[in-house]
Amino acid sequence: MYSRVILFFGEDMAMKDDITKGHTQTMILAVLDREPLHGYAIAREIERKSDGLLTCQEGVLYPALRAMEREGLVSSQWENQTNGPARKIYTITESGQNMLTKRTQAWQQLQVAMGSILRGKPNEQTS
Amino acid sequence: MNRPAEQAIDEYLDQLSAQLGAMPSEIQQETREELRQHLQFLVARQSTPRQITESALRQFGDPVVIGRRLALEWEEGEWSLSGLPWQQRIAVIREAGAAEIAEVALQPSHFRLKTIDYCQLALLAVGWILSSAAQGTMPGLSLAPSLLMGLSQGAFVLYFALGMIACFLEWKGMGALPADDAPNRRKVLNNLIARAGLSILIPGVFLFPQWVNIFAVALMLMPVLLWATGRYQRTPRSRLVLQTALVYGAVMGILLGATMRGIDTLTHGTALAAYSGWLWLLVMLPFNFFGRWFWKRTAKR
Repeated sequence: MYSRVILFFGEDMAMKDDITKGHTQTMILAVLDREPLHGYAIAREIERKSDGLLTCQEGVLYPALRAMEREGLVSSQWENQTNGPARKIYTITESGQNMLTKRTQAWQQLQVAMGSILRGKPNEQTS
Repeated sequence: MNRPAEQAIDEYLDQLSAQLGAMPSEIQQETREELRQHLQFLVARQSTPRQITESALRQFGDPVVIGRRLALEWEEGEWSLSGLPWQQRIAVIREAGAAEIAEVALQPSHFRLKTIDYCQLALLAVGWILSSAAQGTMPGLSLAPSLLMGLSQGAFVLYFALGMIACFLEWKGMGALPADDAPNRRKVLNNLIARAGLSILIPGVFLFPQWVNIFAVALMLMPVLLWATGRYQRTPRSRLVLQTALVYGAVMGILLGATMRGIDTLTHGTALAAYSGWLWLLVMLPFNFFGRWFWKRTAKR
């Protein structure tokens, strides 16, 4: 069975892209809420936290990060590294944390609603 | 057969960079370096000997699509007035106030300035002084006191001379830019055209009143010329100058039309100033929105 879900934003593969397209920013905010990271580390953390179920064309993270910077949800700066060239590190802002809280609540409500719709309400189920 | 990884990464980034359009060169370089590091990590991650660099690049995504989305996000940010530094916001107010100067200058000789006109000129003078202080341009510093003292002709000669000196310095500055730095060279050229035009037109309006209608038409046509050459869409400052002048001209047109001034004859200077606002509104506004719509469509394709 095809257990690994590959999400190609803009392409319809194993899952409709409109389900995940709106959640890229939420995933990025959730990852950055734990610690500031650079782009590659954000992609790996999303993959790790989802137990490998969610991977994406990683380049699309960068337009999303630009949009979030423009909206004030994240900030970035180049940081010198002791063992390599400087890297651009992204940090969640207070606005980003507020947005993450709102989106988390919205997602939880959606989960409950979708669960009810997909399962059917208890008093309507047939044994 | 595997290509050297760095060569493949460079080719990938060249395709992506080709989509970045009017993004400033320093931001393009930063973006390229950031994406290069990510791609190098991806290539280094390939553990199976049969893995080739291209699979890592495919995992990153279509460079044309990613490049266009990055360019679109940058454009979205540049359209926002809040993204401009305060010096440029004042510069927008200052340059839109040039329309106010023309409108006052085009009044018939028997017309007396009213209190509201002095208030507008004072506001223009303050904006001009602040902008000149922010940008270090002498023409503004010479003009603002003249406005407060009552439009001295000598100040306009000085304004013209200093404007020409500033144009010469800008031209020399453009020569110092790298030949392949097209975005910044276009930006400097755009500023130079606007500065030269205002340095000639504004003194001309005051010093040669018999040619006032010609000057008024030329001033009116300047934004149309900038639009026709496509330059006004290239820099956020020139776009916002036109957008602000658009709104300013429309408001002036409404106020003047509502007070029934300048509607007696099309050759009357006040009518030209009022109609210029409507012309800008009718011509520039739809093309402004069309330009944004067209850009978004091509970037998302």
